[in-house]
Amino acid sequence: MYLHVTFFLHFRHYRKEDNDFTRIMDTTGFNQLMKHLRPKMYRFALAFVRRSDEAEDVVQDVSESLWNRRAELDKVQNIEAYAMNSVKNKCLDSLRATAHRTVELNEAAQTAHEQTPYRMTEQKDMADMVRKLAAQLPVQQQMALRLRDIEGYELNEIATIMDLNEGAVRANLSRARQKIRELLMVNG
Amino acid sequence: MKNDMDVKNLLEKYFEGDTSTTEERELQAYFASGQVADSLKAYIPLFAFYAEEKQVTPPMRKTRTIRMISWLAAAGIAASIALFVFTRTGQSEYVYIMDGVRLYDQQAALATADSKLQLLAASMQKAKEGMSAFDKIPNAFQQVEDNFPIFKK
Repeated sequence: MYLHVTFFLHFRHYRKEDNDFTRIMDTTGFNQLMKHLRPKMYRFALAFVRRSDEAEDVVQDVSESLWNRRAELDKVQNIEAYAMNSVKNKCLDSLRATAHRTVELNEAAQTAHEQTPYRMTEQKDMADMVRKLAAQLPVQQQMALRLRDIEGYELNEIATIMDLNEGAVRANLSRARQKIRELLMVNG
Repeated sequence: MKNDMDVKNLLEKYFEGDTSTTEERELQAYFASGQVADSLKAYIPLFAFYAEEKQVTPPMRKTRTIRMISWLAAAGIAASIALFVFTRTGQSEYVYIMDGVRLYDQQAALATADSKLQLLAASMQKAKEGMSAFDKIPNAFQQVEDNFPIFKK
Protein backbone atom coordinates (compact mmCIF):
# COMPACT_ATOMS: atom_id res chain seq x y z
CA MET A 1 0.00 0.00 0.00
CA TYR A 2 2.79 2.34 1.02
CA LEU A 3 4.56 1.73 -2.28
CA HIS A 4 1.46 2.62 -4.29
CA VAL A 5 0.91 5.84 -2.41
CA THR A 6 4.48 7.01 -2.94
CA PHE A 7 4.25 5.98 -6.56
CA PHE A 8 1.20 8.14 -7.19
CA LEU A 9 2.41 11.11 -5.17
CA HIS A 10 5.67 11.10 -7.04
CA PHE A 11 3.97 11.26 -10.39
CA ARG A 12 1.52 13.92 -9.34
CA HIS A 13 4.39 16.04 -8.13
CA TYR A 14 6.18 15.51 -11.42
CA ARG A 15 3.11 16.63 -13.35
CA LYS A 16 2.62 19.74 -11.26
CA GLU A 17 6.15 20.79 -12.07
CA ASP A 18 5.34 20.34 -15.75
CA ASN A 19 2.44 22.75 -15.23
CA ASP A 20 0.70 21.21 -18.21
CA PHE A 21 -1.92 18.64 -19.23
CA THR A 22 -4.80 20.12 -17.25
CA ARG A 23 -7.18 17.60 -18.74
CA ILE A 24 -5.12 14.63 -17.61
CA MET A 25 -6.81 12.38 -15.11
CA ASP A 26 -5.67 13.39 -11.62
CA THR A 27 -4.84 11.05 -8.74
CA THR A 28 -8.34 11.17 -7.23
CA GLY A 29 -10.04 10.42 -10.54
CA PHE A 30 -7.65 7.59 -11.22
CA ASN A 31 -8.16 6.06 -7.78
CA GLN A 32 -11.94 6.22 -8.20
CA LEU A 33 -11.70 4.48 -11.55
CA MET A 34 -9.47 1.81 -10.02
CA LYS A 35 -11.82 1.26 -7.08
CA HIS A 36 -14.57 0.45 -9.56
CA LEU A 37 -12.38 -1.51 -11.99
CA ARG A 38 -10.12 -3.51 -9.69
CA PRO A 39 -12.73 -6.16 -8.65
CA LYS A 40 -13.80 -6.62 -12.27
CA MET A 41 -10.24 -6.97 -13.52
CA TYR A 42 -9.38 -9.34 -10.67
CA ARG A 43 -12.42 -11.63 -11.21
CA PHE A 44 -11.81 -11.79 -14.93
CA ALA A 45 -8.08 -12.49 -14.53
CA LEU A 46 -8.67 -15.10 -11.81
CA ALA A 47 -10.84 -17.16 -14.16
CA PHE A 48 -7.90 -17.59 -16.54
CA VAL A 49 -4.67 -17.36 -14.56
CA ARG A 50 -6.28 -19.47 -11.80
CA ARG A 51 -4.13 -18.27 -8.95
CA SER A 52 -5.06 -15.37 -6.71
CA ASP A 53 -1.55 -13.89 -6.54
CA GLU A 54 -1.12 -14.13 -10.31
CA ALA A 55 -4.49 -12.44 -10.85
CA GLU A 56 -3.41 -9.65 -8.49
CA ASP A 57 -0.19 -9.24 -10.45
CA VAL A 58 -2.18 -8.89 -13.68
CA VAL A 59 -4.39 -6.22 -12.07
CA GLN A 60 -1.35 -4.41 -10.73
CA ASP A 61 0.47 -4.47 -14.07
CA VAL A 62 -2.57 -3.13 -15.91
CA SER A 63 -3.16 -0.42 -13.26
CA GLU A 64 0.42 0.79 -13.48
CA SER A 65 0.37 0.80 -17.26
CA LEU A 66 -2.93 2.77 -17.24
CA TRP A 67 -1.45 5.32 -14.86
CA ASN A 68 1.66 5.72 -16.99
CA ARG A 69 -0.44 6.23 -20.10
CA ARG A 70 -3.16 8.38 -18.53
CA ALA A 71 -2.25 11.29 -20.83
CA GLU A 72 -3.49 9.18 -23.74
CA LEU A 73 -6.64 7.96 -21.97
CA ASP A 74 -8.55 11.09 -23.01
CA LYS A 75 -8.51 9.79 -26.56
CA VAL A 76 -9.83 6.38 -25.50
CA GLN A 77 -13.60 6.09 -25.96
CA ASN A 78 -14.23 3.54 -23.24
CA ILE A 79 -11.46 3.44 -20.63
CA GLU A 80 -13.04 0.51 -18.82
CA ALA A 81 -13.18 -1.65 -21.95
CA TYR A 82 -9.64 -0.54 -22.77
CA ALA A 83 -8.46 -1.68 -19.31
CA MET A 84 -10.30 -5.01 -19.55
CA ASN A 85 -8.76 -5.52 -23.00
CA SER A 86 -5.31 -5.23 -21.37
CA VAL A 87 -6.36 -7.78 -18.74
CA LYS A 88 -7.58 -10.11 -21.50
CA ASN A 89 -4.24 -9.85 -23.34
CA LYS A 90 -2.28 -10.58 -20.19
CA CYS A 91 -4.51 -13.58 -19.44
CA LEU A 92 -4.00 -14.98 -22.93
CA ASP A 93 -0.22 -14.56 -22.54
CA SER A 94 -0.40 -16.39 -19.24
CA LEU A 95 -2.56 -19.17 -20.73
CA ARG A 96 -0.07 -19.66 -23.57
CA ALA A 97 2.78 -19.90 -21.09
CA THR A 98 0.97 -22.50 -18.99
CA ALA A 99 -0.99 -24.38 -21.67
CA HIS A 100 0.60 -27.67 -20.68
CA ARG A 101 -0.65 -27.36 -17.09
CA THR A 102 -4.40 -27.08 -17.79
CA VAL A 103 -5.55 -29.97 -15.60
CA GLU A 104 -3.41 -28.80 -12.71
CA LEU A 105 -4.77 -25.26 -13.08
CA ASN A 106 -8.39 -26.40 -13.04
CA GLU A 107 -7.70 -28.04 -9.70
CA ALA A 108 -6.09 -24.84 -8.44
CA ALA A 109 -9.19 -22.87 -9.48
CA GLN A 110 -11.33 -25.13 -7.35
CA THR A 111 -9.10 -24.58 -4.35
CA ALA A 112 -9.15 -20.80 -4.85
CA HIS A 113 -12.95 -20.76 -4.91
CA GLU A 114 -13.28 -22.94 -1.83
CA GLN A 115 -11.53 -20.19 0.10
CA THR A 116 -14.22 -17.60 -0.76
CA PRO A 117 -15.89 -16.82 2.57
CA TYR A 118 -19.34 -15.57 1.54
CA ARG A 119 -20.78 -18.67 -0.04
CA MET A 120 -24.04 -20.21 0.95
CA THR A 121 -23.61 -23.91 1.62
CA GLU A 122 -26.75 -24.86 -0.27
CA GLN A 123 -25.57 -23.14 -3.46
CA LYS A 124 -22.02 -24.37 -3.12
CA ASP A 125 -22.33 -27.69 -4.94
CA MET A 126 -24.63 -26.31 -7.66
CA ALA A 127 -22.45 -23.34 -8.48
CA ASP A 128 -19.33 -25.53 -8.39
CA MET A 129 -20.87 -27.86 -10.94
CA VAL A 130 -21.44 -24.98 -13.39
CA ARG A 131 -17.97 -23.60 -12.64
CA LYS A 132 -16.47 -26.92 -13.70
CA LEU A 133 -18.62 -27.03 -16.84
CA ALA A 134 -17.70 -23.45 -17.74
CA ALA A 135 -13.99 -24.19 -17.27
CA GLN A 136 -14.24 -26.86 -19.99
CA LEU A 137 -15.46 -24.37 -22.61
CA PRO A 138 -13.11 -22.84 -25.21
CA VAL A 139 -11.39 -19.74 -23.81
CA GLN A 140 -13.22 -17.30 -26.13
CA GLN A 141 -16.58 -18.68 -25.00
CA GLN A 142 -15.59 -18.51 -21.35
CA MET A 143 -14.52 -14.91 -21.77
CA ALA A 144 -17.71 -13.85 -23.53
CA LEU A 145 -19.82 -15.59 -20.88
CA ARG A 146 -17.98 -14.01 -17.97
CA LEU A 147 -17.90 -10.52 -19.45
CA ARG A 148 -21.63 -10.63 -20.10
CA ASP A 149 -23.25 -12.70 -17.36
CA ILE A 150 -20.93 -11.85 -14.49
CA GLU A 151 -19.62 -8.36 -15.35
CA GLY A 152 -22.71 -7.23 -17.29
CA TYR A 153 -20.98 -5.58 -20.27
CA GLU A 154 -22.81 -4.66 -23.47
CA LEU A 155 -21.92 -6.57 -26.65
CA ASN A 156 -20.01 -3.63 -28.15
CA GLU A 157 -17.92 -3.36 -24.98
CA ILE A 158 -17.17 -7.09 -25.03
CA ALA A 159 -16.22 -6.73 -28.70
CA THR A 160 -13.64 -4.07 -27.71
CA ILE A 161 -12.35 -6.13 -24.80
CA MET A 162 -12.00 -9.31 -26.85
CA ASP A 163 -10.81 -7.71 -30.10
CA LEU A 164 -13.73 -9.32 -31.98
CA ASN A 165 -16.75 -7.96 -33.84
CA GLU A 166 -20.15 -7.99 -32.15
CA GLY A 167 -21.38 -10.90 -34.27
CA ALA A 168 -18.51 -13.08 -33.12
CA VAL A 169 -19.13 -12.07 -29.50
CA ARG A 170 -22.81 -12.99 -29.76
CA ALA A 171 -21.91 -16.35 -31.34
CA ASN A 172 -19.39 -17.14 -28.58
CA LEU A 173 -21.86 -16.08 -25.91
CA SER A 174 -24.81 -18.16 -27.16
CA ARG A 175 -22.58 -21.20 -27.76
CA ALA A 176 -21.25 -20.95 -24.22
CA ARG A 177 -24.75 -20.66 -22.73
CA GLN A 178 -26.15 -23.49 -24.82
CA LYS A 179 -23.25 -25.79 -24.04
CA ILE A 180 -23.72 -25.25 -20.31
CA ARG A 181 -27.45 -25.82 -20.73
CA GLU A 182 -26.82 -29.16 -22.45
CA LEU A 183 -24.36 -30.25 -19.77
CA LEU A 184 -26.77 -29.15 -17.03
CA MET A 185 -29.55 -31.24 -18.57
CA VAL A 186 -27.24 -34.27 -18.74
CA ASN A 187 -25.86 -33.86 -15.22
CA GLY A 188 -29.07 -32.59 -13.64
CA MET B 1 -42.05 -10.24 -11.27
CA LYS B 2 -42.90 -11.87 -14.54
CA ASN B 3 -44.94 -15.06 -14.59
CA ASP B 4 -43.28 -18.42 -15.20
CA MET B 5 -44.23 -18.46 -18.90
CA ASP B 6 -42.58 -15.08 -19.44
CA VAL B 7 -39.49 -16.32 -17.69
CA LYS B 8 -39.46 -19.45 -19.84
CA ASN B 9 -39.62 -17.37 -23.03
CA LEU B 10 -36.99 -15.00 -21.74
CA LEU B 11 -34.78 -17.97 -20.92
CA GLU B 12 -35.05 -19.30 -24.49
CA LYS B 13 -34.12 -15.85 -25.76
CA TYR B 14 -31.23 -15.85 -23.29
CA PHE B 15 -29.77 -19.10 -24.59
CA GLU B 16 -29.92 -17.74 -28.13
CA GLY B 17 -27.88 -14.73 -27.00
CA ASP B 18 -30.73 -12.33 -27.81
CA THR B 19 -31.55 -10.89 -24.39
CA SER B 20 -30.58 -7.37 -23.33
CA THR B 21 -28.56 -6.73 -20.17
CA THR B 22 -31.78 -5.47 -18.54
CA GLU B 23 -33.62 -8.70 -19.36
CA GLU B 24 -30.66 -10.70 -18.07
CA ARG B 25 -30.78 -8.82 -14.78
CA GLU B 26 -34.48 -9.74 -14.51
CA LEU B 27 -33.60 -13.41 -15.05
CA GLN B 28 -30.89 -13.25 -12.42
CA ALA B 29 -33.30 -11.63 -9.95
CA TYR B 30 -35.90 -14.31 -10.63
CA PHE B 31 -33.50 -17.19 -9.97
CA ALA B 32 -32.21 -15.50 -6.83
CA SER B 33 -35.77 -14.96 -5.50
CA GLY B 34 -36.14 -18.47 -4.09
CA GLN B 35 -39.53 -18.82 -5.85
CA VAL B 36 -38.48 -20.66 -8.97
CA ALA B 37 -41.02 -22.81 -10.85
CA ASP B 38 -40.28 -26.55 -10.68
CA SER B 39 -39.89 -26.73 -14.46
CA LEU B 40 -37.10 -24.10 -14.26
CA LYS B 41 -35.26 -25.38 -11.19
CA ALA B 42 -32.64 -27.06 -13.38
CA TYR B 43 -31.30 -23.59 -14.23
CA ILE B 44 -30.78 -22.48 -10.64
CA PRO B 45 -27.13 -23.70 -10.61
CA LEU B 46 -26.30 -21.52 -13.62
CA PHE B 47 -27.58 -18.35 -12.01
CA ALA B 48 -26.17 -19.37 -8.63
CA PHE B 49 -22.78 -19.55 -10.33
CA TYR B 50 -23.14 -15.99 -11.69
CA ALA B 51 -24.31 -14.65 -8.33
CA GLU B 52 -21.42 -16.29 -6.55
CA GLU B 53 -18.80 -15.10 -9.00
CA LYS B 54 -20.01 -11.52 -8.64
CA GLN B 55 -19.05 -11.67 -4.98
CA VAL B 56 -15.42 -12.51 -5.69
CA THR B 57 -13.27 -9.52 -4.74
CA PRO B 58 -9.51 -9.10 -4.68
CA PRO B 59 -7.92 -9.81 -1.29
CA MET B 60 -6.83 -6.78 0.71
CA ARG B 61 -3.20 -7.81 0.87
CA LYS B 62 -0.81 -6.36 -1.66
CA THR B 63 1.39 -9.16 -2.91
CA ARG B 64 3.88 -6.80 -4.48
CA THR B 65 4.41 -5.02 -1.17
CA ILE B 66 4.71 -8.32 0.68
CA ARG B 67 7.19 -9.54 -1.88
CA MET B 68 9.16 -6.31 -1.48
CA ILE B 69 9.17 -6.73 2.31
CA SER B 70 10.33 -10.34 2.08
CA TRP B 71 12.97 -9.24 -0.41
CA LEU B 72 14.16 -6.60 2.05
CA ALA B 73 14.17 -9.18 4.83
CA ALA B 74 16.24 -11.51 2.66
CA ALA B 75 18.62 -8.66 1.86
CA GLY B 76 18.90 -7.84 5.57
CA ILE B 77 19.69 -11.45 6.45
CA ALA B 78 22.25 -11.60 3.64
CA ALA B 79 23.84 -8.37 4.90
CA SER B 80 24.00 -9.74 8.45
CA ILE B 81 25.67 -12.93 7.23
CA ALA B 82 28.09 -10.92 5.10
CA LEU B 83 28.92 -8.66 8.05
CA PHE B 84 29.44 -11.65 10.33
CA VAL B 85 31.66 -13.43 7.81
CA PHE B 86 33.54 -10.19 7.14
CA THR B 87 34.24 -9.58 10.82
CA ARG B 88 35.27 -13.21 11.26
CA THR B 89 37.56 -12.88 8.28
CA GLY B 90 38.82 -9.58 9.67
CA GLN B 91 39.79 -11.32 12.88
CA SER B 92 41.58 -14.08 11.08
CA GLU B 93 43.92 -11.49 9.58
CA TYR B 94 45.52 -11.46 13.00
CA VAL B 95 46.45 -15.03 13.69
CA TYR B 96 49.23 -15.35 16.21
CA ILE B 97 50.86 -18.65 16.88
CA MET B 98 52.37 -18.78 20.34
CA ASP B 99 54.05 -22.01 21.46
CA GLY B 100 52.04 -23.74 18.76
CA VAL B 101 48.79 -22.23 20.12
CA ARG B 102 46.63 -20.29 17.61
CA LEU B 103 45.48 -16.94 18.98
CA TYR B 104 42.88 -14.68 17.29
CA ASP B 105 42.80 -11.95 19.94
CA GLN B 106 45.35 -9.25 19.29
CA GLN B 107 45.46 -8.09 22.93
CA ALA B 108 45.97 -11.60 24.23
CA ALA B 109 48.62 -12.21 21.60
CA LEU B 110 50.51 -9.03 22.56
CA ALA B 111 50.28 -9.87 26.27
CA THR B 112 51.61 -13.35 25.61
CA ALA B 113 54.37 -11.99 23.43
CA ASP B 114 55.31 -9.44 26.11
CA SER B 115 55.58 -12.07 28.82
CA LYS B 116 57.71 -14.22 26.52
CA LEU B 117 60.00 -11.26 25.82
CA GLN B 118 60.35 -10.57 29.57
CA LEU B 119 61.35 -14.18 30.14
CA LEU B 120 63.92 -13.82 27.37
CA ALA B 121 65.27 -10.60 28.94
CA ALA B 122 65.58 -12.30 32.33
CA SER B 123 67.52 -15.17 30.72
CA MET B 124 69.81 -12.66 29.04
CA GLN B 125 70.47 -11.03 32.39
CA LYS B 126 71.43 -14.35 33.98
CA ALA B 127 73.71 -15.07 31.06
CA LYS B 128 75.29 -11.66 31.44
CA GLU B 129 75.90 -12.33 35.12
CA GLY B 130 77.49 -15.68 34.26
CA MET B 131 79.71 -13.92 31.75
CA SER B 132 81.11 -11.63 34.52
CA ALA B 133 83.48 -14.45 35.59
CA PHE B 134 85.48 -13.77 32.47
CA ASP B 135 86.20 -10.27 33.80
CA LYS B 136 88.42 -11.89 36.44
CA ILE B 137 90.76 -13.40 33.84
CA PRO B 138 92.95 -10.27 33.25
CA ASN B 139 93.18 -9.83 37.01
CA ALA B 140 94.39 -13.40 37.41
CA PHE B 141 97.08 -12.85 34.78
CA GLN B 142 98.22 -9.73 36.69
CA GLN B 143 98.51 -11.73 39.92
CA VAL B 144 100.58 -14.43 38.20
CA GLU B 145 102.85 -11.73 36.79
CA ASP B 146 103.28 -10.10 40.19
CA ASN B 147 104.03 -13.32 42.08
CA PHE B 148 106.19 -14.94 39.44
CA PRO B 149 108.48 -12.20 38.00
CA ILE B 150 109.94 -14.81 35.67
CA PHE B 151 106.82 -14.35 33.52
CA LYS B 152 107.27 -10.58 33.46
CA LYS B 153 107.57 -9.19 29.94
